[in-house]
Amino acid sequence: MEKFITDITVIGGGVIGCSIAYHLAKEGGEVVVLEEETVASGASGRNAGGVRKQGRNIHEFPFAIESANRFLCLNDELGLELEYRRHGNVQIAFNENQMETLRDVLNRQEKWGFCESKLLDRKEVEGMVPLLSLDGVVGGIYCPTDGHINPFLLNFGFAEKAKSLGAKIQSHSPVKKILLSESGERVIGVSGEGFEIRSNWVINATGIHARQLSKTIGCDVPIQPVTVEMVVTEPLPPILKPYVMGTQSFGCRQTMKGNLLFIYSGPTKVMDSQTVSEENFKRRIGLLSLMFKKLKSFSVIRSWAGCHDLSEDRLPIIHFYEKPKGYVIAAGFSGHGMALSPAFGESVSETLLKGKATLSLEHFSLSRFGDMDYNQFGKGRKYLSTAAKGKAL
Amino acid sequence: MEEKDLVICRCEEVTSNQILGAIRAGYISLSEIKRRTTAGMGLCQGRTCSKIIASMIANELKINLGDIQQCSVRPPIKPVEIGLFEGKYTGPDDEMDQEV
Repeated sequence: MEKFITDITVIGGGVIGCSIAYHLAKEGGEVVVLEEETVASGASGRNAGGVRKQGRNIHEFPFAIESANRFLCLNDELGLELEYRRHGNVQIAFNENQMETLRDVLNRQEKWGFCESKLLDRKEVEGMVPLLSLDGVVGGIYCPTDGHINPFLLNFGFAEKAKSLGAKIQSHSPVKKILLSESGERVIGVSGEGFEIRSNWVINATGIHARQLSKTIGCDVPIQPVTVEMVVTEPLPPILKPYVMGTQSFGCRQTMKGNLLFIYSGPTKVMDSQTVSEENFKRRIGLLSLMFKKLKSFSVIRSWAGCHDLSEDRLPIIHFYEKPKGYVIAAGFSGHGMALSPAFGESVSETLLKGKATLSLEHFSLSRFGDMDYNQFGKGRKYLSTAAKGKAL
Repeated sequence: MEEKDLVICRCEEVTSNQILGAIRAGYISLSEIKRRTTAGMGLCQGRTCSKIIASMIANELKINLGDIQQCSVRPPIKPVEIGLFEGKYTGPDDEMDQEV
């Protein structure tokens, strides 16, 4: 049995866990990351890598701005080319209703003093996304200072830099138990097969697993897994600059190597599988051939699936528990984790080490859900209710 | 092999030095090396290079080749033309709305 003592244990070696570990280690924190498989093997390793400010919720918005600023110098900071490109974010409306929603987004942002996004008409969408078959396209919005990043390298970059600053990152170490003091007042560490770690802090950054693990110490969180599917084409010459988002929770971007990456989020059935079913594969590529008629003669080389941790209101849950003291939830990022990881990692680190963060995490605590019954989440109603959506906006 | 920096993954043009560098940095499985270096992410999906990379890991760590976990195989088995799937789209998934 391997036993040791540290100040902070982070469970989960995804982009959130590793960003938190990096920011802690940078400020001299003594931190151990425990990852059940390997770094970037969960949602962070099946990611599309979009980075955007436009369309964010008001509470997330400052974190999106801060993260976008951080991305500009993160290559130097982490010592790794992260393939961050400010090539813009385009959101497309396929009917007048969707266009109205996008206009609302713009108006909302302008009230916050953010005027970088602009409306696109049909013709301008064509200019931005030259491959798109325009049937049904009404228009869109565009933010030139958004873009995309290589999600794996961002995750590895945080992990490698954290390590070089003294953090310990242990792969293949699934945590089985969160250990509490006898009175249950505070956490005292974690244990798993062949190891036990004593620590003052335990940060649960396990994404879709956060709820289950948290429940073992009686702390429920309103998070549900939702499946996202991806397909990738053979490399093409550079043809698509921005990250494109559209209807049917559909998105795409071109990687630095030229592959077009298409992402579909949405099957309501929760799947554990990491493989796209044959039926869905046909449907997904069927949609692709419909939306991108010019791509017909190109090939799809791979598809895969993953789950992200959808919270009740599609906002991250960052909660510093009073009881058990020392326990922290940093999960429920709802697919926004990659883009917001620099700012959230820094804020969690600041809150933990200094008691206060420059960007306050106050809104992200569990108290926003009041006395809602977490078991009702996602049951017997629309996946995301209109009420929840109103709240999210 | 270190003196001659050979191309190991031809589809993605990843060289032996890059792969050895990754192994020595602690990326000791095919899937980790794939995500870290893109070796095996290309047109052939690692059909050619994964065996070589597995031997490199085994050599470097002094372990049996058989102990190295194979990378997961995801559909399609070989590249398929997008045009073959025309008309297969059956409408949007129910109950999901657009996120903006």
